[in-house]
Amino acid sequence: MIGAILKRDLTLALRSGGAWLHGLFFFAVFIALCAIALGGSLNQMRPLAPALIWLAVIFSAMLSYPVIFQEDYQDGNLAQLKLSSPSLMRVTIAKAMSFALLSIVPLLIATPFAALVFDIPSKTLMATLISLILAAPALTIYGVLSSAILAGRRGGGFLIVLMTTPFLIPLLIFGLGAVDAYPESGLAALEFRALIGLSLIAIAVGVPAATAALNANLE
Amino acid sequence: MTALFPQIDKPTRLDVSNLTMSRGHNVLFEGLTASVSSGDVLWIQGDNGIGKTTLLEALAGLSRPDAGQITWQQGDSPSSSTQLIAYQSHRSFAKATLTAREDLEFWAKFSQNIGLTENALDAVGLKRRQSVPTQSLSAGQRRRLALAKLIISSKPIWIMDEPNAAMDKDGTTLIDELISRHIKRGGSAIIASHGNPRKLGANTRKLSLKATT
Repeated sequence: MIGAILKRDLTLALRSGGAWLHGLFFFAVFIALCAIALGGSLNQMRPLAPALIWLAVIFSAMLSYPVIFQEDYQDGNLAQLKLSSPSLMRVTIAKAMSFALLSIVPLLIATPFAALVFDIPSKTLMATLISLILAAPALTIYGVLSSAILAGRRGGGFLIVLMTTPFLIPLLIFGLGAVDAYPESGLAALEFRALIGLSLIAIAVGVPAATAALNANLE
Repeated sequence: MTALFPQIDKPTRLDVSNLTMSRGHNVLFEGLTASVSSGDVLWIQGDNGIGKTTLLEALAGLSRPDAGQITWQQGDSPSSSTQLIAYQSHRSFAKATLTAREDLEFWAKFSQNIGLTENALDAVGLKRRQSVPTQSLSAGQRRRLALAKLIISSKPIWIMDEPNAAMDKDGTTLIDELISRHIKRGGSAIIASHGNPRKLGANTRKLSLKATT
């Protein structure tokens, strides 16, 4: 089931005329505008770079959140999936995986290019990238959860930002803390473990909660 | 063609007792009791806005009734709507950019009937249009695709919302033929329709929803 949904979502994305790249495009524009706003001085930008990259990732993930379940809910596919699939949880997991692949992974791939703009040292880039990768499951699941709760409600996009912000704050704090701690303690830094913990909690709580929310929205 | 309609071994039963449903503050119907078992056809009739679709969604387990109970049974044991129901809603849920075949294959995977896609497309007369994106199909052809999904789901209870909408004469005959086949193999069907109810099995009944003043 999961494979079938994944394959279909990827096919649909590829045929969507690039709609799935909106988040990535936003990421690139955000980074470029930051560079302009900071005056282009590398000495000024270097220390700020990890924070700006983190913000760019969070904002463009937020931009993609509303669409996770929107279309499938509106055109009736979600109701049909509920009737066809042995458990709705698998649908949630499949949707989370396709969202991660289509919206989060491209941002991770784009991060080294953003690092070029700010000319940050490879060690800092490494730390930023690892912190983002560890936070990626949480970034994905919070989006899935909020999108599931708000599926089928108008004005959901605005509420999604309000709902997910409190969840994303700890990620941001520990993510940037990890980047700071990396030169001294490497991967053993406490902040990396905190990120892993946050991701695991998000998966353990978020997937069943999102499934329950979908179920409630489909009744 | 026989493989498309495998015999349904366990008898199924859908029971509705004292069902009350409303839309907003409007009560649509109260105290509705009915039951549909294997081999039954139930036509649901009524004017626009009377609550046919709401009733069908409740029967399919897709909306929660305000009061009363809906139970699904397979054999002698209670089952769930997701095990038994195939629901054809009034709108097409085909993905616009997928071809008819891809869209059907996706749903076939859920019932492990992938090998039957070709036959199912043939049965509903879409074989020649199978590689056309569903957005380029006509409304009637999309309804035919939805019929193919019903067949391929191999679920025992079909719930159909206005299956005749946008269908040509051949299409209407086709629907009757498919439903008859489904009834003969031990399935049952609940159909909301404006057209005249047609006798499609030994036990065909009609449920009319009328507004009270």
